[in-house]
Amino acid sequence: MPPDPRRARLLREALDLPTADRDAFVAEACGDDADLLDSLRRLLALDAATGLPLDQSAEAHAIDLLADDSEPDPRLRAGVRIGAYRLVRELGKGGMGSVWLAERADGQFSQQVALKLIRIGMDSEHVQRQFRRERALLARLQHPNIAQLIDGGIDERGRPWFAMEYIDGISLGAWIETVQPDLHARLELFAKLCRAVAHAHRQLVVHRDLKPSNVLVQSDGEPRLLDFGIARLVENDDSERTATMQRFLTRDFAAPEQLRGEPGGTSTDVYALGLILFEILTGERYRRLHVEGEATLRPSATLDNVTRAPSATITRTRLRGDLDAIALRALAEDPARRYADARQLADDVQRHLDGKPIEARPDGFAYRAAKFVRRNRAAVIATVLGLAALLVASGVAFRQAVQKTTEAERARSALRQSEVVNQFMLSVFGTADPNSGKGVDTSAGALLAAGRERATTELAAEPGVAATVLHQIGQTYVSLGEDRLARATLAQALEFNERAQSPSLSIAAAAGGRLAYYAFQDGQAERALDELDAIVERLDAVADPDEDVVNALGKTHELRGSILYATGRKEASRAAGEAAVAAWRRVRDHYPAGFLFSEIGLADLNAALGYGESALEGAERVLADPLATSRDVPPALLAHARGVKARALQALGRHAEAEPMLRATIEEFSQQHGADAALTRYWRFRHAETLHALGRLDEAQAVADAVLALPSDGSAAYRRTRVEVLAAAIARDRNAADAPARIDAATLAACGESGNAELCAKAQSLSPGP
Amino acid sequence: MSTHAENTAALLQRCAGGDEGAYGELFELIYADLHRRAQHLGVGAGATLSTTALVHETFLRLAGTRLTLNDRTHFFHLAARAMRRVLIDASRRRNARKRGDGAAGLTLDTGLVAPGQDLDLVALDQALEDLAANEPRMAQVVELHFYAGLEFTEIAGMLDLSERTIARDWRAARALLHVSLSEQHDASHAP
Repeated sequence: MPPDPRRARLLREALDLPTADRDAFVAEACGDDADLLDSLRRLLALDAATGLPLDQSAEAHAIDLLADDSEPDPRLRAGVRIGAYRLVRELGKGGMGSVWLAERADGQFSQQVALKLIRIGMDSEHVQRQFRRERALLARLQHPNIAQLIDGGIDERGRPWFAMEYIDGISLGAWIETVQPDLHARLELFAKLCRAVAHAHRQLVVHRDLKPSNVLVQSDGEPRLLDFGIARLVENDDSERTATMQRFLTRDFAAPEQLRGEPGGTSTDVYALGLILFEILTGERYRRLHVEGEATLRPSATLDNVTRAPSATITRTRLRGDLDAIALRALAEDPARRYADARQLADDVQRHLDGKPIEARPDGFAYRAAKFVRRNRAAVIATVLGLAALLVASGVAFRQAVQKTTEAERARSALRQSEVVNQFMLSVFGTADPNSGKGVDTSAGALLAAGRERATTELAAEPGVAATVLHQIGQTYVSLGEDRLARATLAQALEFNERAQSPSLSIAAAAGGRLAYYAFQDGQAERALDELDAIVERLDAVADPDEDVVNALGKTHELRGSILYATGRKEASRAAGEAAVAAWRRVRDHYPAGFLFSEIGLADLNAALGYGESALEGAERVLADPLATSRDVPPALLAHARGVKARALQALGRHAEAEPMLRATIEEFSQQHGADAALTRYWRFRHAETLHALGRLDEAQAVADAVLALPSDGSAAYRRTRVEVLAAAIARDRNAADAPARIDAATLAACGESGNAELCAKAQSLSPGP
Repeated sequence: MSTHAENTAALLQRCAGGDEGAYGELFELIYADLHRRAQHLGVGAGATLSTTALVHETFLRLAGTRLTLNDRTHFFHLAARAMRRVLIDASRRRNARKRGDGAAGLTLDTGLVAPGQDLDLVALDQALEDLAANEPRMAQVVELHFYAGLEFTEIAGMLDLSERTIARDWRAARALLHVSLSEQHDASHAP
């Protein structure tokens, strides 16, 4: 039956009216035509609905369709090399790209990885730089229940790829089907997932695409989370890309705010965990049962409708009460009513397992906090990064302090502190206007700036808390390469730390060390060394140092070493390097990367000072160390060790052996960090040196000049100057016409403010004698 | 002006003069360009997989920037229609393949699977044809907004209507299309 021709016209007219008047209008216009009225009412209801297929524009459909329609990329096949990996076989394919089993291609050690290739290219240099920064943050994310991001890069066509630890396991759904775990086992596994997510949140990483298929269960029963942070990594600040990525979210596991098109934050992950919990408890997919707009479904109520219970241990009685309450809180439509972070969710599940009262009760602390959030219109809290998690974590710590003490006075003080932290958290993340349409400014920069500003003012009365927050923000700035902001923030962290009742030694060492380094970069080497000596003294004074203190000691010695070296005190710097290695050796199992890097650093130093044999031994020791291939050590370490081995060979005059190793090192560093990164420049400089020594003068000149042609990266001027001196020496040996001019310019730089005695002497020696 | 642009401008002139052949020729030109580039999406350098960008790029490649508003409007109508056909053709091929091997659609969940399956583009095409029969302007708004990705303001400028009217037309069309999509769906799944 063709539709009533009046229908479209009446619909248009109704839509022109205020919402409240529409129903009366259509009722009036339809008269006694009940069919037409029904039809119009249905249309008006649809108008109010969100998330209909047409709301995605053709784009979302096109990507999937055309991806499927186009021929498979012929360049992707077994044997093809991507980064340091060789593709073995395709594990799967989706609209966004494909996943391959791959293995290390450089034969250094055997490592299987899951390589994910994203088909959407990243075109701009800006986006690629952002990608590298984010990747660096993600690489720090290490947890036994999270599949480690091992490597990543952008191929020559601008498409990003990620190498992740290859997990041999079955999906969560298959685990439930085949293992048929009892309720207790399910909840224990779930609590592990929550703690893994909470760990990531504390590292400022949100997942945003949590779902059962992203959870693999190993044969030992340990769950592993896949794809952490990948959604964010691909999005970056490119809003168009973000919009595209959001269309790839699996609707069944997206939070309400994501369906509205807002970016996800920590409470988005909490919601997704709620969906997973629901499925773990009932065997049913929440979104398939829940009707949009209706009240949150209780897991226990669902059991009435399923024909067979997911496990004999799962009964309505056991779900009713705590588990219902936990699921309801995690699945609240309003982000502000959910658990503030995954840690709180994990804690509640654990409390239930331990038979303790849970927090997710109407009179509980979480509820009161949620109410506070609501009053402050801070629903937007959901849309921001994980800094909230850090703050909530301190809140948890304070609550634990309350439980431990019986003194009422201290309890009150701790509670007040936790309120302070909570209020602080809300005020930082509640500043956006939810009515502005755009939602909050989710850029990490704006968030960190707001956090810093508020921490210094509103947490002033709690210096210990303020120091922790500021230190975390400062270190994030360091990771992002925002030196100026890092400096100012870390200085504040130190200040607050010293005002705290019991200052944290690790904050004092980490923030103090970084500031000393900045002072050195400014040319205040003596001041930097004094500060570092003071830190060493303080750390040495600890009677029974734990791993963290020893780690801080190692780092501080290493910094001292590099400053001493740069200011020409070579033997002293060697002693500092040895002290660093000695400290780290004591905690090598706790800090394998720290230890191995210190060994490499010392070997590098030995090579620089002409102790070629010690240098070669050191580098080879690292390459042979079983720790070097352990999970906790970034693959870049091996690349570095190989570079230092080449440098040792250089020092021993074995340039012909060093040259190909340097070339390989440069290639590896370019892949990892980009061709103009400081480390890549360094190895290119060394390469030019060796080519020079081998008499391959034109090549040497080309390499050195290429480094000089790169834009300044803000690193110490002497690094550039030494390349300049080298380039001048090469030019002289080539009898190049511009050699005299180059020598003059290099001498000027090397003997001026940014030079040092050694470089100056070297440059002066290039000039023909009088 | 490039030869592409000259050619396009001439064709548009002839279209304006009521030349049916020119209309068809221009459509095929646009379709071929969109189709070829859509096929290469994801395997080319820096591909962004955006239909909006595709349509705009096609515009720049084929027409340049010096068209009159009238010609621009014409061009985008054609481009929107061509994009609609590109997607329909791809959907039909996929449906045919699915019938062919039975197991199609069984892709491993890589964590990044598109939700595009929610919408049956062939059914949408039919629904849009039906809508165009009675409400040609609403159908036009759908083509320009949904397929070509134009903003309401741009469409308003082209059709010489207020933005509010365009937005209202879109909302009405959206609701009507969803109703007819679910009717089609129910009909095809009826026992």
